[in-house]
Amino acid sequence: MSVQYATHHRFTVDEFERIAEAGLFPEEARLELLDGEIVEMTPVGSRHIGCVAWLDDLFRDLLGQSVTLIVRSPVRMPTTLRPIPDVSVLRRREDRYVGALPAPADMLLLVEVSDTTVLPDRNEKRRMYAEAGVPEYWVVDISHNTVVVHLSPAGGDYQDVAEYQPEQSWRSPALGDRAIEAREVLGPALGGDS
Amino acid sequence: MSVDFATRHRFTVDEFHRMGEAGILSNGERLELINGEIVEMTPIGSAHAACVRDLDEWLQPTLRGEAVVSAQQPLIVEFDGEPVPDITILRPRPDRYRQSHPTSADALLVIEVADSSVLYDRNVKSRMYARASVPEYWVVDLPRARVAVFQSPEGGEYRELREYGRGESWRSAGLGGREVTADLVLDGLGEG
Repeated sequence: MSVQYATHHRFTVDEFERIAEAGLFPEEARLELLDGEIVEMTPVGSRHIGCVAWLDDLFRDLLGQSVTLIVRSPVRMPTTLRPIPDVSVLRRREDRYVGALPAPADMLLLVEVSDTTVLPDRNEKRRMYAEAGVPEYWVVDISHNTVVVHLSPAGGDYQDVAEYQPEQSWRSPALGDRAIEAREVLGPALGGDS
Repeated sequence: MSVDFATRHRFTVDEFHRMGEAGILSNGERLELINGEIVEMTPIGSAHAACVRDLDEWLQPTLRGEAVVSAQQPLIVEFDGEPVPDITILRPRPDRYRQSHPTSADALLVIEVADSSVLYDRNVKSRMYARASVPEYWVVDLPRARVAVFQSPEGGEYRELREYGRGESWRSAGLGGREVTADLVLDGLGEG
């Protein structure tokens, strides 16, 4: 049962981390802080996991050691956002972010792989990431076999949004303006069951 | 922006308390735990405050020696709730609940006074109290001048819901079978 007509308490990232440090989250919980609310991550299936593994290899092949790549790990955005993107392509740092979680200024590209979460990924998360100033955001939609590319965050939203079919390509600033085809991004997930 | 697209994490009563003790929930906020979700209590308007005050003034002497009348104090509810009802009528206990907060098993009647929160009180909170088998629950709807009386909790719902307006009365099991008039509940003790 969801609580309707109520104002949910909103936490800051600092409070979220203090709750975790106090051991008040169950160990098995996979939790994100989205707009101040603590939510459970949607369980994912093999197609989703395989697509993330594919992207990890793809970015490593294209970008080599010029970036730091993290997969399904939290990033931190002021002040009420601590999501766990599927792939975060970050400025390379020698300490590999041991000292602090990556912040928006560290981000080159965030990627969410979506099957059941296409609508929130394309709407609510799009606005949250734009507001935080994430420069490039992809939704790899494995239920429709498309890639939605969001660029130029300004005024709380992305000014440049385009959806690409498998045979279509675009130039990605995070990939050094290299042209890439949606087919390459979808990889083995392309054409699978939706 | 709402995160209704996702499943909110639910806290237990124990985790909720420990967050308070650790100073993570700031003291200035009025928070309730409802079905494991931490929600902010709506600010109380003057009509709401007066209604609670008059209910308390009426019930304290009426039930003295029979039950404990608790106004705007936390009640621990089975299945991860810790609401702060406007009025809770509790079974008597020798320590008068000094040793521990009352729980839903101690409650004979819970009353919520509603101005803007009426849908929430009628839908979400009624199911929470019914699940915890609180035998009787009233929602005093000030804007519509109605008192909704929920009784007979069974299978997570109240089986009986009756509404009363001015000029009507009912017998309340939670108040030892006493007759209650809607006028007294809605209009309080008057100016006399």
